[in-house]
Amino acid sequence: MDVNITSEFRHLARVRSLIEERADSVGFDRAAASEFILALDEALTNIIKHAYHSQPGHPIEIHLSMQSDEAYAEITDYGDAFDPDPVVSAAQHYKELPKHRGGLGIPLMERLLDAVEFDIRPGVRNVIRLRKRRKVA
Amino acid sequence: MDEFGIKVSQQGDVSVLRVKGYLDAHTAPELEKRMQELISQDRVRLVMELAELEYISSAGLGVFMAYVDEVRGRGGDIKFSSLTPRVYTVFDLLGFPILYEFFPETGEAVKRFPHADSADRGRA
Ligand SMILES: Nc1ncnc2c1ncn2[C@@H]1O[C@H](COP(=O)(O)OP(=O)(O)OP(=O)(O)O)[C@@H](O)[C@H]1O
Ligand SMILES: [Mg+2]
Repeated sequence: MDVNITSEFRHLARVRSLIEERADSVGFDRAAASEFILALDEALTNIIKHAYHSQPGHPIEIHLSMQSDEAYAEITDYGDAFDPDPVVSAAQHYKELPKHRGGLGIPLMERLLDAVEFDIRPGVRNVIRLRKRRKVA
Repeated sequence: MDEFGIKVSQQGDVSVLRVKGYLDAHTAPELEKRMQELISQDRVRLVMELAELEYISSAGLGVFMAYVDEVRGRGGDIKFSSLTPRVYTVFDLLGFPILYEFFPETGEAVKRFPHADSADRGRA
Protein backbone atom coordinates (compact mmCIF):
# COMPACT_ATOMS: atom_id res chain seq x y z
CA MET A 1 0.00 0.00 0.00
CA ASP A 2 1.28 3.47 -0.88
CA VAL A 3 0.17 6.65 0.82
CA ASN A 4 1.36 10.06 -0.27
CA ILE A 5 0.93 13.10 1.91
CA THR A 6 2.28 16.62 2.03
CA SER A 7 4.23 18.05 4.91
CA GLU A 8 1.41 19.08 7.25
CA PHE A 9 0.78 17.65 10.71
CA ARG A 10 -2.97 17.45 10.12
CA HIS A 11 -2.39 14.39 7.90
CA LEU A 12 -0.91 12.35 10.76
CA ALA A 13 -4.29 11.22 12.09
CA ARG A 14 -5.40 9.88 8.70
CA VAL A 15 -2.16 7.96 8.17
CA ARG A 16 -2.43 6.44 11.66
CA SER A 17 -5.96 5.22 11.07
CA LEU A 18 -5.12 3.84 7.62
CA ILE A 19 -2.37 1.73 9.15
CA GLU A 20 -4.61 0.63 11.98
CA GLU A 21 -7.25 -0.56 9.51
CA ARG A 22 -4.63 -2.32 7.43
CA ALA A 23 -3.17 -4.04 10.51
CA ASP A 24 -6.64 -5.24 11.50
CA SER A 25 -7.40 -6.55 8.06
CA VAL A 26 -4.21 -8.63 7.85
CA GLY A 27 -4.46 -9.77 11.47
CA PHE A 28 -1.33 -8.02 12.74
CA ASP A 29 -1.28 -7.89 16.54
CA ARG A 30 -3.02 -4.75 17.84
CA ALA A 31 -0.54 -3.86 20.56
CA ALA A 32 2.37 -4.24 18.15
CA ALA A 33 0.44 -2.22 15.54
CA SER A 34 -0.04 0.70 17.91
CA GLU A 35 3.68 0.71 18.69
CA PHE A 36 4.49 0.64 15.00
CA ILE A 37 2.05 3.49 14.39
CA LEU A 38 3.63 5.67 17.08
CA ALA A 39 7.10 5.05 15.63
CA LEU A 40 5.87 5.97 12.17
CA ASP A 41 4.19 9.12 13.51
CA GLU A 42 7.55 10.10 15.04
CA ALA A 43 9.31 9.57 11.71
CA LEU A 44 6.73 11.65 9.80
CA THR A 45 6.75 14.37 12.45
CA ASN A 46 10.54 14.59 12.21
CA ILE A 47 10.42 14.84 8.43
CA ILE A 48 7.90 17.67 8.54
CA LYS A 49 9.64 19.48 11.40
CA HIS A 50 13.31 18.94 10.59
CA ALA A 51 13.67 17.93 6.93
CA TYR A 52 11.01 20.40 5.69
CA HIS A 53 11.30 22.94 8.55
CA SER A 54 7.54 22.88 9.11
CA GLN A 55 6.89 24.31 5.67
CA PRO A 56 3.71 22.90 4.11
CA GLY A 57 3.25 21.44 0.64
CA HIS A 58 6.31 19.20 0.38
CA PRO A 59 5.94 15.54 -0.60
CA ILE A 60 6.25 12.56 1.73
CA GLU A 61 5.80 9.07 0.28
CA ILE A 62 4.91 6.16 2.50
CA HIS A 63 5.19 2.63 1.27
CA LEU A 64 3.59 0.18 3.65
CA SER A 65 3.76 -3.57 3.75
CA MET A 66 1.72 -5.35 6.40
CA GLN A 67 1.56 -9.05 7.04
CA SER A 68 0.16 -10.95 9.95
CA ASP A 69 3.64 -11.31 11.46
CA GLU A 70 5.39 -8.15 10.31
CA ALA A 71 4.82 -4.47 9.63
CA TYR A 72 7.21 -2.60 7.38
CA ALA A 73 7.26 1.00 6.16
CA GLU A 74 9.54 2.92 3.88
CA ILE A 75 9.18 6.69 4.06
CA THR A 76 10.75 8.95 1.45
CA ASP A 77 11.19 12.73 1.61
CA TYR A 78 13.10 15.27 -0.47
CA GLY A 79 13.96 17.70 2.31
CA ASP A 80 17.19 18.48 4.12
CA ALA A 81 19.61 15.67 4.73
CA PHE A 82 21.05 14.99 8.18
CA ASP A 83 23.58 12.67 9.73
CA PRO A 84 21.56 10.10 11.67
CA ASP A 85 24.52 8.24 13.19
CA PRO A 86 25.12 10.39 16.29
CA VAL A 87 21.39 10.76 16.92
CA VAL A 88 20.72 7.04 16.58
CA SER A 89 23.69 6.12 18.71
CA ALA A 90 22.57 8.57 21.42
CA ALA A 91 19.08 7.09 21.23
CA GLN A 92 20.45 3.59 21.69
CA HIS A 93 22.18 4.78 24.86
CA TYR A 94 19.17 6.74 26.09
CA LYS A 95 18.98 6.37 29.86
CA GLU A 96 16.94 9.20 31.25
CA LEU A 97 14.60 11.98 30.29
CA PRO A 98 16.57 14.97 28.99
CA LYS A 99 16.45 18.24 30.97
CA HIS A 100 15.10 20.22 28.08
CA ARG A 101 12.30 19.73 25.62
CA GLY A 102 12.77 17.45 22.65
CA GLY A 103 14.93 14.54 21.69
CA LEU A 104 12.35 11.86 22.46
CA GLY A 105 11.25 10.85 18.96
CA ILE A 106 14.21 8.76 17.89
CA PRO A 107 14.63 7.09 21.31
CA LEU A 108 10.95 6.11 21.03
CA MET A 109 11.45 4.72 17.53
CA GLU A 110 14.46 2.74 18.72
CA ARG A 111 12.52 1.26 21.61
CA LEU A 112 9.30 0.54 19.74
CA LEU A 113 10.68 -1.06 16.60
CA ASP A 114 12.78 -4.10 15.74
CA ALA A 115 14.74 -2.10 13.18
CA VAL A 116 15.09 1.52 12.08
CA GLU A 117 17.27 2.47 9.15
CA PHE A 118 18.10 5.91 7.78
CA ASP A 119 19.22 5.94 4.18
CA ILE A 120 20.16 9.53 3.43
CA ARG A 121 21.33 10.67 0.00
CA PRO A 122 21.95 14.41 0.40
CA GLY A 123 20.31 16.43 -2.31
CA VAL A 124 18.60 13.34 -3.75
CA ARG A 125 16.19 11.86 -1.21
CA ASN A 126 16.00 10.58 2.34
CA VAL A 127 14.53 7.21 3.18
CA ILE A 128 13.59 5.90 6.62
CA ARG A 129 12.77 2.20 6.97
CA LEU A 130 10.81 0.90 9.94
CA ARG A 131 10.26 -2.72 10.82
CA LYS A 132 8.21 -4.29 13.56
CA ARG A 133 7.62 -7.96 14.07
CA ARG A 134 4.60 -9.22 15.91
CA LYS A 135 5.26 -9.96 19.55
CA VAL A 136 5.56 -13.67 20.10
CA ALA A 137 2.87 -14.60 22.57
CA MET B 1 -12.29 9.72 15.18
CA ASP B 2 -12.33 11.21 18.66
CA GLU B 3 -11.88 14.96 18.66
CA PHE B 4 -8.98 16.36 20.59
CA GLY B 5 -10.05 18.55 23.47
CA ILE B 6 -8.95 20.08 26.75
CA LYS B 7 -11.27 21.00 29.60
CA VAL B 8 -9.85 22.97 32.48
CA SER B 9 -11.44 22.98 35.92
CA GLN B 10 -10.32 24.34 39.27
CA GLN B 11 -10.10 22.27 42.41
CA GLY B 12 -9.10 24.86 44.97
CA ASP B 13 -5.89 26.33 43.67
CA VAL B 14 -5.14 23.30 41.52
CA SER B 15 -6.00 23.39 37.81
CA VAL B 16 -7.09 20.08 36.36
CA LEU B 17 -6.66 19.72 32.60
CA ARG B 18 -8.77 16.92 31.16
CA VAL B 19 -7.07 16.06 27.91
CA LYS B 20 -9.03 13.93 25.49
CA GLY B 21 -8.34 12.26 22.15
CA TYR B 22 -5.10 12.19 20.20
CA LEU B 23 -2.18 14.34 21.30
CA ASP B 24 0.29 14.62 18.42
CA ALA B 25 2.24 17.30 16.55
CA HIS B 26 -1.03 18.63 15.14
CA THR B 27 -2.85 18.99 18.45
CA ALA B 28 0.07 19.71 20.82
CA PRO B 29 0.01 23.49 20.10
CA GLU B 30 -3.48 23.62 21.61
CA LEU B 31 -2.25 22.07 24.85
CA GLU B 32 0.72 24.40 24.81
CA LYS B 33 -1.58 27.40 24.49
CA ARG B 34 -3.76 26.32 27.42
CA MET B 35 -0.72 25.69 29.60
CA GLN B 36 0.72 29.11 28.73
CA GLU B 37 -2.59 30.80 29.57
CA LEU B 38 -2.78 29.08 32.95
CA ILE B 39 0.82 29.80 33.85
CA SER B 40 0.47 33.44 32.84
CA GLN B 41 -2.46 33.61 35.31
CA ASP B 42 -0.15 32.25 37.99
CA ARG B 43 -1.81 28.86 37.90
CA VAL B 44 1.19 26.62 38.31
CA ARG B 45 -0.38 23.69 40.17
CA LEU B 46 -1.40 21.50 37.30
CA VAL B 47 -2.89 18.03 37.11
CA MET B 48 -3.14 16.37 33.72
CA GLU B 49 -6.13 14.03 33.83
CA LEU B 50 -5.47 11.67 30.94
CA ALA B 51 -8.19 9.01 31.30
CA GLU B 52 -9.62 9.91 27.90
CA LEU B 53 -6.31 10.47 26.18
CA GLU B 54 -6.12 7.81 23.47
CA TYR B 55 -2.69 8.56 22.13
CA ILE B 56 0.43 10.61 22.79
CA SER B 57 3.56 11.21 20.71
CA SER B 58 6.77 13.03 21.59
CA ALA B 59 5.22 16.30 20.43
CA GLY B 60 2.77 16.05 23.32
CA LEU B 61 5.38 14.89 25.81
CA GLY B 62 7.52 17.88 24.83
CA VAL B 63 4.87 20.29 26.10
CA PHE B 64 5.21 18.94 29.65
CA MET B 65 8.99 19.07 29.42
CA ALA B 66 8.82 22.67 28.21
CA TYR B 67 6.93 23.97 31.26
CA VAL B 68 7.87 21.73 34.16
CA ASP B 69 10.94 23.71 35.26
CA GLU B 70 9.07 26.98 35.17
CA VAL B 71 6.06 25.74 37.17
CA ARG B 72 8.29 24.02 39.73
CA GLY B 73 10.40 27.15 40.02
CA ARG B 74 7.24 29.02 40.91
CA GLY B 75 6.16 26.56 43.58
CA GLY B 76 3.89 24.45 41.39
CA ASP B 77 4.15 21.14 39.60
CA ILE B 78 2.77 19.08 36.74
CA LYS B 79 1.28 15.81 37.98
CA PHE B 80 -0.49 13.13 35.97
CA SER B 81 -3.59 11.12 36.77
CA SER B 82 -5.69 8.23 35.49
CA LEU B 83 -3.64 7.26 32.43
CA THR B 84 -4.67 4.24 30.39
CA PRO B 85 -2.01 1.51 30.33
CA ARG B 86 -1.34 2.19 26.67
CA VAL B 87 -0.56 5.88 27.20
CA TYR B 88 1.35 5.22 30.42
CA THR B 89 3.65 2.85 28.54
CA VAL B 90 4.87 5.72 26.36
CA PHE B 91 5.71 7.87 29.41
CA ASP B 92 7.33 4.89 31.07
CA LEU B 93 9.50 3.96 28.07
CA LEU B 94 11.14 7.37 28.25
CA GLY B 95 11.61 7.55 32.01
CA PHE B 96 8.95 10.12 32.93
CA PRO B 97 8.04 8.35 36.21
CA ILE B 98 11.45 9.27 37.63
CA LEU B 99 10.82 12.99 37.27
CA TYR B 100 7.03 13.22 37.46
CA GLU B 101 4.37 11.86 39.79
CA PHE B 102 1.60 9.65 38.41
CA PHE B 103 -1.63 8.83 40.26
CA PRO B 104 -4.50 6.48 39.48
CA GLU B 105 -7.07 9.13 40.52
CA THR B 106 -7.19 12.89 39.97
CA GLY B 107 -8.27 13.47 43.58
CA GLU B 108 -5.07 11.92 44.87
CA ALA B 109 -2.95 14.06 42.57
CA VAL B 110 -4.79 17.21 43.70
CA LYS B 111 -4.31 16.29 47.36
CA ARG B 112 -0.58 15.91 46.86
CA PHE B 113 -0.18 19.65 46.45
CA PRO B 114 0.44 21.47 49.73
CA HIS B 115 -2.74 23.15 51.02
CA ALA B 116 -3.58 26.64 49.80
CA ASP B 117 -3.16 28.30 53.22
CA SER B 118 0.33 26.92 53.78
CA ALA B 119 1.23 27.84 50.21
CA ASP B 120 0.02 31.42 50.82
CA ARG B 121 2.17 31.66 53.89
CA GLY B 122 5.07 30.41 51.82
CA ARG B 123 4.47 33.02 49.16
CA ALA B 124 4.11 35.98 51.56
N1 LIG C 1 13.93 13.32 9.26
C1 LIG C 1 14.86 14.14 9.78
N2 LIG C 1 15.46 15.06 9.01
C2 LIG C 1 16.37 15.90 9.52
N3 LIG C 1 16.77 15.89 10.82
C3 LIG C 1 16.22 14.99 11.64
C4 LIG C 1 15.24 14.06 11.17
N4 LIG C 1 14.88 13.28 12.19
C5 LIG C 1 15.60 13.70 13.25
N5 LIG C 1 16.41 14.72 12.94
C6 LIG C 1 17.36 15.38 13.85
O1 LIG C 1 17.53 14.54 14.99
C7 LIG C 1 17.16 15.22 16.19
C8 LIG C 1 16.51 14.26 17.16
O2 LIG C 1 15.22 13.84 16.71
P1 LIG C 1 14.14 13.41 17.77
O3 LIG C 1 12.90 13.04 17.05
O4 LIG C 1 14.73 12.39 18.68
O5 LIG C 1 13.91 14.72 18.65
P2 LIG C 1 13.15 16.06 18.25
O6 LIG C 1 12.38 15.85 17.00
O7 LIG C 1 14.14 17.16 18.27
O8 LIG C 1 12.15 16.26 19.48
P3 LIG C 1 10.84 15.38 19.79
O9 LIG C 1 10.82 14.23 18.82
O10 LIG C 1 11.02 14.92 21.21
O11 LIG C 1 9.70 16.29 19.62
C9 LIG C 1 16.27 16.36 15.73
O12 LIG C 1 16.30 17.46 16.63
C10 LIG C 1 16.86 16.71 14.37
O13 LIG C 1 17.97 17.56 14.54
MG1 LIG D 1 11.07 14.21 16.81
